[in-house]
Amino acid sequence: MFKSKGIKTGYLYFYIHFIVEVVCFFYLSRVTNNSMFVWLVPFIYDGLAFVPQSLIGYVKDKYSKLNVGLIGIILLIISYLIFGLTNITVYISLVILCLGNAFLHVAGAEVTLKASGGKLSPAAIFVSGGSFGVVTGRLLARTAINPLILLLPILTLIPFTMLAETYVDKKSSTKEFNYVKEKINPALVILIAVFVVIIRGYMGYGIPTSWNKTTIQLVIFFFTMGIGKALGGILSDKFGIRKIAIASTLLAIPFLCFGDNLMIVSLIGVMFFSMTMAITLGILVSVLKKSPGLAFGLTTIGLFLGTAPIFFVKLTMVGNIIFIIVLSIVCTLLLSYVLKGVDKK
Amino acid sequence: MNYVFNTLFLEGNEILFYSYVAIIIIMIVLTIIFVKKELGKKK
Repeated sequence: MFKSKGIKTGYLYFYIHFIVEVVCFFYLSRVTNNSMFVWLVPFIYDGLAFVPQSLIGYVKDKYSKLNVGLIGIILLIISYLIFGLTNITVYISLVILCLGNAFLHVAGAEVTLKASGGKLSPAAIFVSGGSFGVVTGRLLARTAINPLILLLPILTLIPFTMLAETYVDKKSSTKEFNYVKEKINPALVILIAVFVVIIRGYMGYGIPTSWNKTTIQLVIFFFTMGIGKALGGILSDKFGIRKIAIASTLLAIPFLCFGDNLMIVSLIGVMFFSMTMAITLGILVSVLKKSPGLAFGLTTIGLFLGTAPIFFVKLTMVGNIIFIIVLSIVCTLLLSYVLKGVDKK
Repeated sequence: MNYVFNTLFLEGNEILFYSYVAIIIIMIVLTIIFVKKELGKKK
């Protein structure tokens, strides 16, 4: 299971991503206890943690020796020191926290993609750690612990990032990512992949889940999302990216639409729906082989654009279901258009 | 209608909101420029 260096970096960054999200969502949950910040802080967080990743990724692609992981850790520490020790306005520590999150995400993407040898599993395992961290951070925030205690898990990230860096050398690259049909215009491929991410981002918040009321149900929901994200990469490597992309997007529709009050049905849908995460990343890296950081950043911009409308628009239940069905079918058609079959790779 | 917008304007933070939107737009535009540059290199 831990044989390839790609998988090793995947597990190392699973832990790093987990801690980053614990730290960020602990902070967000604590701050949003103040009703004035309930929507405002998450909205600012989404923009300043997701959007800069493309620019940070681009700089990291150009200057490979730049240790973005360490920069991210330092920013998280500064943010928590300001949050825990001073009375300065919350926006200062929030912006620094967002940037720390962004730097560490880029570090994870660069390392796991470069060490993967063209496989999706390492990046998928790295990405999945976030879902477990989100729910853990939210639950921790309900306790009375001092925020400064979280400096300890932040410090544990240092050896993990250093160890992960050892699996990447000058020869490491993402040239082996070839999941996209060569004949299609790369710019169109990028637009399609970002569109699919935007839809997934919207659906992540728009899925009807009336069943999700208790703490344990919240934990199960996020754990299922995390498992789905990891499975997307693992199954794509095993059975072919095109098959998994089409199957997961189509199979998710009935489960998501009819699972509003049925937890198990809904969770199956959430798992299928989460699988496309690694697939869209694989598509973008295939057309931006020399710029994996920039490619990863495009997915996070897509996530921001997909989640931003949630703060302003609210669809009715029926409208939401129609939206999910139509856009899922459109995404399936687009993914099957750009992706190669497994035999052609 | 929308909580974020109302909260910001009730607080008198219009400048904060527009600065935030401007920063996001600048970052997205820069990303598009860099992507075009990378795609141009291929050709």
